[in-house]
Amino acid sequence: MREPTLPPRQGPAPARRDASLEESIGRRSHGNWLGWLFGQQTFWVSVAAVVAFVVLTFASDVFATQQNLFNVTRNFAFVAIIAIA
Amino acid sequence: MTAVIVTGGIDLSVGAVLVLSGMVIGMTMNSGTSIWIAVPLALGAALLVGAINGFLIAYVGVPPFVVTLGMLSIARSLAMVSSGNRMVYQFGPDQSQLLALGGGFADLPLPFAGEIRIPNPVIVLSVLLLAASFAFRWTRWGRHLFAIGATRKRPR
Repeated sequence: MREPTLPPRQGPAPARRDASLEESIGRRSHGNWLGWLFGQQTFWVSVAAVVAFVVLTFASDVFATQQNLFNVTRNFAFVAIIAIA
Repeated sequence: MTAVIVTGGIDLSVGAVLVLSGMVIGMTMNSGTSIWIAVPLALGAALLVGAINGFLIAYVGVPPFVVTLGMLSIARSLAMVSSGNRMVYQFGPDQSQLLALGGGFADLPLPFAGEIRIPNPVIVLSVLLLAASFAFRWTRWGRHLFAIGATRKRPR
């Protein structure tokens, strides 16, 4: 007597995708705000910018002067205008 | 660039367009034109280049990368030809106004901390940033733009 042949099994991919999707949604909706913040790419870029600012302030006497920050913001403004336009 | 990148496009010609409009304002003012005419001319040149880019991409169907790469060379060449490849230091009767426009500043008094010096471009940037944030977040156009995303076929 032959066993009834089962239909070919679906690969585990859809189930795993569903699980990871559920997990992702759960993390997005139930995670705390700190976890959300650490998941943001822009957060780490901002951290790097702040670290560079602090390091340069201590490494150079002329970095944290008003004249230099004036020049830096002025030169940066043109690039930023292009970026948002 | 935000609107371009968010819809999955690319614009390689922004730098060249910046050079071209700078060259237009420089050369027209060098030949004695008023700043009130030279600024609209420069903006118009940038607008024209952008319109040609947009027409070729949206209506002719050429890939954005190809169009803007070609426009990069065209705009740079036009800028070089219009200046005659020499440096310009004289900007006619309105020179002081032109230099004040980009190099000027405003002193902003802070409570308890004296005053800080804000360059004019940063003020322009702040205004444009607020306008762009509003347009992307709160207008129908902005929401449609983000709904398009990287693929044009998806949002129906």
